[in-house]
Amino acid sequence: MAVVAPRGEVDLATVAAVRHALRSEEAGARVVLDLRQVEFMDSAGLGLIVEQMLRAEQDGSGFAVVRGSEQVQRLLRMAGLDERLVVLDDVLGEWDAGAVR
Amino acid sequence: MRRLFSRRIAGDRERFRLLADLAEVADGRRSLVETADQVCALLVPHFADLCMVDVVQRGGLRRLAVKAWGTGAAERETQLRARGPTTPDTPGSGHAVATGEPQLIAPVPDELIRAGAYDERDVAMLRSLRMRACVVVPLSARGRALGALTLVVTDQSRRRYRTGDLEFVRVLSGRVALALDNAGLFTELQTVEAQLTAALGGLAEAVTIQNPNGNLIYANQAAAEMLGAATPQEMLEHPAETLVGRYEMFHEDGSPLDPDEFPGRQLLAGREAAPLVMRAVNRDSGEQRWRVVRASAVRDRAGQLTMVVNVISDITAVKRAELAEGLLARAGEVLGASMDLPDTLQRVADLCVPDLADWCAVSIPGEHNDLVTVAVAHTEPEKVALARRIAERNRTSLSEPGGAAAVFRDRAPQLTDPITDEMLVGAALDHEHLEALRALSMHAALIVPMLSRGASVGVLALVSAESGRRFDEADVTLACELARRAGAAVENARLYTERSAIAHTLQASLLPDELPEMTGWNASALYLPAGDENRVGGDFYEAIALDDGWVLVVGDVSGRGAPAAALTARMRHTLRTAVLTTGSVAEALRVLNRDLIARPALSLGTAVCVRLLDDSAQAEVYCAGHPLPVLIHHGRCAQVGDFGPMLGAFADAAWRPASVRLIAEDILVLYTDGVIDAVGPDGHFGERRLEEVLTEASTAEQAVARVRTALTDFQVGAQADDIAVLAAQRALAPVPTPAARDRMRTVDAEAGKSSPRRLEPTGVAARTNGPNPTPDGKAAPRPLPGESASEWAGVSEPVLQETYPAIDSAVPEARRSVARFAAAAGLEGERLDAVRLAVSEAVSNAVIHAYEGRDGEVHVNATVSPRELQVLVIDSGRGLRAPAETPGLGFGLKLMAEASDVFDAVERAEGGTEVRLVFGLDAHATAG
Repeated sequence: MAVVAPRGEVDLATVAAVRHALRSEEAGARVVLDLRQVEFMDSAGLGLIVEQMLRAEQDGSGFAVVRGSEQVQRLLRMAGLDERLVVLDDVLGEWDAGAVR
Repeated sequence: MRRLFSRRIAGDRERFRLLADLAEVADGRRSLVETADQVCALLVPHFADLCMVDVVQRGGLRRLAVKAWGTGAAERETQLRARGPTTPDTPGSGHAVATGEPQLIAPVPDELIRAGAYDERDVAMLRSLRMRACVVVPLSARGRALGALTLVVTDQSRRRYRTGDLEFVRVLSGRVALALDNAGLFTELQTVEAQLTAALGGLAEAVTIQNPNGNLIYANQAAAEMLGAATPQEMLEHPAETLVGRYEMFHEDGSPLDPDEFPGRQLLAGREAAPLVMRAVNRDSGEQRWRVVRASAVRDRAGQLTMVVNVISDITAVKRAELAEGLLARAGEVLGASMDLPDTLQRVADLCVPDLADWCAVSIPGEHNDLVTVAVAHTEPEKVALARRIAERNRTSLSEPGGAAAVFRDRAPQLTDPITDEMLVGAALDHEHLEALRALSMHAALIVPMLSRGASVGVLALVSAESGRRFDEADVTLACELARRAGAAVENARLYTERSAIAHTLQASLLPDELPEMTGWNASALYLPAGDENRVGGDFYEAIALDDGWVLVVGDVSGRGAPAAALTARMRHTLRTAVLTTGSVAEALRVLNRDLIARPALSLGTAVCVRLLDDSAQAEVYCAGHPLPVLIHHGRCAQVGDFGPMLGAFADAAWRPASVRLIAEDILVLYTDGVIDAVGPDGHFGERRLEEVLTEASTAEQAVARVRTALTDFQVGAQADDIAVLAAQRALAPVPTPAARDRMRTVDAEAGKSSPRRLEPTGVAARTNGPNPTPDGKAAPRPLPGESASEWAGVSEPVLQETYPAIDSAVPEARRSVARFAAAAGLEGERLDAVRLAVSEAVSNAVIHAYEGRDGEVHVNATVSPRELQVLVIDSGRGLRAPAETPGLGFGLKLMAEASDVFDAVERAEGGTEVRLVFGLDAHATAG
């Protein structure tokens, strides 16, 4: 299991770095994107999450996010991703207990 | 012998005899035709073989006599008589009359015959006469052309005319003309008289003829009957005065008519005479007749008046019908024009005079079971007062057995004719009253009930006095019909007046009598109920005093009529009580909201409340579904406050205040939607027009007055909705706290520097052009308005203008910059996040898609008004796209739309895209 935890703002200017971090994880590994330290995120971050979801579906690996700020959570809601995404309250916990498909 | 005789023209002796015989013919006893025949008989065959007399008649020549002699004479005479005289163009009688010169034509050439003939047959006939010579002489007497005499000699006698003959014919013609003239006069006289007698005798119209002295010299049967004489003869024997004296005469309008005004007398006096329409009332019978009198003058040749012919037509039937029709039509018009009861009653009385009566009184039930006369009309204005005085004294108890009370009770007309002096004595209350009654010289009275839906609402008394006229059946019918219509109108007006009074009373309870004295403030209010008086308004205004200031309220309830009025009263009093007990507007609105929700019927209302503090520039605006107030600061207008839910709709509704600064001389104007919804030639009055009107106002009074004037000028047709306006101005010399004073100074200083604001209503349609970015394209951010931004809301317009290179880093930079600006405008938390997200998306879009790798720029402009923050993100690239190859970024448009209150994107004319994001400002940050 790999955890990527960006800090600050995820937007057009920073998304490439986050994407790089995610892709450097080996294929098939479960990935957790920890959003707790993301102050702001826009559709650039959303795009990244969607990409990662599609990848996890293709190779059967798991993907989850750790609940972020109100702004981030609202954004996920607006995009309709909150229901399709595994959202964890913490990196450790339910997910390891097998709560993920 | 005959041959010999006939071959020469008569000798001198015969000529003298001829003249003597002609003198005899000219004795004037014969008719014109007889005279002409006689002349011809004397001249043929002694002086001519053929003789013709043509006379001037009705502007032309008429062949009066033809005489020939010998074989075929009768045939020739017939032919020549039928042919008639020649035209003035060819030689012959016509030519002679026209020129006045005698002609001798000898011989008579064939060309002349052809020229004078009508056709070939005529030529043949004229040739067959075998004329040798012809003399044509004009006939004239007393300077008047009478005709011409034509004498012809033919092959029959083989005579000739010579110049000497022409001379004799001249003399002869003088005699002939004289004979004809005399005969003509005689005939004219005879004919005129015979014709007159025959024609006028049988005429239905009355005709009289007067001589120049004014004496009657002729009257036909109709005239005798009309003027009350058995025969024309009887008429002629009585002097005109006695005939005229039998009648009381009036003009059409009811004013007395002097006999000297008759058209005939006018003509005799040498004046013009127009037809006269008059009304004659027979003094004996009281019968009334309408007549038209026409007169024409008959003059002799010298223009002297010889007689006057009068034609008098009786138009009573026509006039009656016309009168009734006109009266009833006028009644409809006049009675429908007023909804005021006393006015309507007076109109009823005025209608009847003078067409129906000399005076008229209208009475309606009073407060003491009696009939009270409330309106009087009289033909003579000076008698109105007298009639009214009598009427006022004469209060008839409704229980009286007869008179008006009986008419009122029984709903049946009553005719009293004649009114005797005993009646007056019986009716008089005292001697003075009797004298007054006598002074009215009443002849007859007709009292008719005024009915409405079968019930009596009053009585109409019609009195005949000076005119002496009687009321006949037609009058009674007409009066009843008129009273029936008046009854309906009176009833309508009564109901209306009552209802209106109720409405006014209610309305009065809905408004403060006047605004209370507000120390430190100048306030002014306007209330204009909609035109229809039956609609009690749903608008109200209120100024509630608290210890440290005031609460101004302007409100409006939904619905109309009495329920709306009741709701208005409830809203107003609940709000006042709640404000006074809780001291909090927010709490008072919640109390009112709960109260309205608790009502069984849906009770909705809107209100705007402003909390004013005597010692602080800070004011709070609470808006419950109501148009936002306008703040006038230094001649600039801005809407202040935020929209909150309306009252009575949501149980959990709450209202948050919006802060607004109100420094000395600032004016706050509260109004109801009746102002902006007023309809004029180009649509609604609208907020923009209101602000334009208010811009010039420098006092509260002016603000209200300007709104009133503008609405009056603008409105087309009746006012559709109630209008309430309340304006309050902080007085110039308040007693502020030191802190407040400092703040005010700051505000003034800053306001003076600020640029004019532009107020964009939320949700405005997409525009084609946006504000221009900085021309050099470099990032040229102006200093941020900083912390004070929110303070100037509504006063100035803070502006952010920045330009970024179209690269990734523009996204966070622009977002942070706008976020600071937005925070300064009072946005925070979720709302601020929404601004950040939307701006982030808009700038990302520009960077990624607009230029596709090319160099470019992104301009970010932001402005803030009291109501909203507006952000423009402008690029000059390819435009707004959401390419599918970048997953997630397709969310951009959706997110912008969702995060902002208004989102639109327009292609700019000069290329590129302008994205507009508008965010409503829920509450202003209250910095400082």
